[in-house]
Amino acid sequence: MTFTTTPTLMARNETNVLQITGLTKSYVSPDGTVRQVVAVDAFTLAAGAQVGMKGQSGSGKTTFLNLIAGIVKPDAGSIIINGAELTTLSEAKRDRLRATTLGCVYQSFNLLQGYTCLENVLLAMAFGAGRDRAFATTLLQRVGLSHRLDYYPRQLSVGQQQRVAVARALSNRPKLVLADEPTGNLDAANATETLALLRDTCAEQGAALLLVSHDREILARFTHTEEFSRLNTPLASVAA
Amino acid sequence: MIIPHIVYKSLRQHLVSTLVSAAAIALAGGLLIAVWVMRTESNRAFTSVTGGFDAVLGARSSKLQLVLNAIFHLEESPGNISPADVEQIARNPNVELALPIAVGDNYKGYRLVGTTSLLFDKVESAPGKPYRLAGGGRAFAMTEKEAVVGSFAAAQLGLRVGDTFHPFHGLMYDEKKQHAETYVVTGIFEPTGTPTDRVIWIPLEGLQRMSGHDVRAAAEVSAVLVKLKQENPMSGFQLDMLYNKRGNKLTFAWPIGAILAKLFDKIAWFDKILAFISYLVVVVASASILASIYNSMNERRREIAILRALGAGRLTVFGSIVAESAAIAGLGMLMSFGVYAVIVLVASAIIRVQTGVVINPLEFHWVMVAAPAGIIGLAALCGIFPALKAYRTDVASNMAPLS
Repeated sequence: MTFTTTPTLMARNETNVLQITGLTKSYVSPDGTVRQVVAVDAFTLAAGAQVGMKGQSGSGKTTFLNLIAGIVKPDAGSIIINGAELTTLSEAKRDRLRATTLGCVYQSFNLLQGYTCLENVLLAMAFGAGRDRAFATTLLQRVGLSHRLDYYPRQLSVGQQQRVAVARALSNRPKLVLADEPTGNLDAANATETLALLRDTCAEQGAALLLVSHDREILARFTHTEEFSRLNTPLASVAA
Repeated sequence: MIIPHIVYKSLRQHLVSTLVSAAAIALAGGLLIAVWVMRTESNRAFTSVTGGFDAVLGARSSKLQLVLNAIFHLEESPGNISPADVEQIARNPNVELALPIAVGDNYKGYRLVGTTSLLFDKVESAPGKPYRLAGGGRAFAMTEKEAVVGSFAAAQLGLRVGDTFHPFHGLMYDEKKQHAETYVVTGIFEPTGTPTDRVIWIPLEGLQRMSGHDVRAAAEVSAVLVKLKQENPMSGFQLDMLYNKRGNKLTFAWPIGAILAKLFDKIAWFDKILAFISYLVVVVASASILASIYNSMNERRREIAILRALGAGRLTVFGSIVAESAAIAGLGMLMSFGVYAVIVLVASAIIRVQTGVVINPLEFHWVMVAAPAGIIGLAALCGIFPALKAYRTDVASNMAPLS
């Protein structure tokens, strides 16, 4: 097994790149009620593992990924990434950890429009391990964009844009890549190609991959899949 | 070093608003520097113009009127003084040189000033700078109808050595008031950067006895330009007492520089208003940077969220917005020197045409460093407001819809 959802107190495991325990996150609705969005008792992901997670829109899976990325602070629980307890880190250290250890791929690509393909990758490197033009070029070559290094995102097809996002996600040699509906905006052919590229490059770089999607065809390509609804068991709404 | 890179890319991405904001700063900064430099330089230039003299003796009037008439050739003469008064001042032991001048005629708006040949022999336009005639010319002969023309007047009138002209009566040009006399140009003065460049010099008697002038006043002069003996530091004070305190017929305008300085003091309020307006323009221009960046923050939220998701800290995005604001101001201030050059070159050309005083507007002045530093600082300060918005940008809600 490369991952587990066993709700047990777990010791820090150096072989796991991600280890989550008792994680909860709630939001206050406009009507004043508190809505728990995420309640995950336990989740681990071994180094280099690839997991497809199925979740419907509005199920809280993006919040779950944002919690792992350190973008959102949890109400309670523990998130250990590559041996570091994320929830006790200062925001600046969480930013640093995100830059050096994580790679993210989004449904809407989230490329910076004022930057070329190469510059998008180099910028991500600048926040992490440092700019490495040769490696950035290699990554873009690997995703089939060696002839588009100086193109701006608006000059690329959606499939090409997502390939840039894949290269950018791997630019700091991350231990874990989080992919949130990475094929959601792509046609079937591009979706298949991008998914294969994402999985292959993660494997080549030794990065674990946690991909969330509602697309059964995409998830069917994973050996290991997880139902987010089984993992996530939030309480019913309570008054604030 | 990531902030300069982010700033550079953002400036390029928002090129139009960057250039518009920088142009506003350029206009404001150029205006501010121009006001400061022109005020300082014109003050310095006007108070240092003495025509080589220390004082002016003239009919009872204000000292300023005497100086403006006799040194700057601007005002009307307050009246004449008698040959006896001229003789008296010339013989005063405190006086090194007394140069009588007479005014009252012009040639196409350029003033004719009658004087003696002492102008060519004993007078300096500024310390160590005697009046020099351009090649091929000579001084006028006191008994002939000859003229030596200031460099600016000669250029504007197209007069050259050997040319002739008919003077016109009065200080204002009126083509119906032409005198019958014909004067020959015998020399052109080299430029001095003083009001004398705008004057046509003729023999004193020539002006006094010009056809149509009152023969009863033919021996009188308009004023006497006085150079004091330097060995007696009290000479000016003693003459001031003699003419201004004890006498009531004449006015002794001394020292010339201080009289002009008083004029500048009197119009200091105008300087202050100009300076205030230029400060205001700078504040408005800086606020335009604030408005430009602040208004673009909505469309930038996603970019900021992406930067933060990539690992950029809050201080990095905060610093990049402040630096961007300062960079726009810096770009504007670079452009402002072009604006400044245009303003001061036009203004100094107007001053030269109107007064003959040459101002060097391109001389270094501390405000050329202080203004850019201040404006860049102010712009950085203005950048704090949008930067705070960037600092507070919520990453999760600005990245993608929840799923």
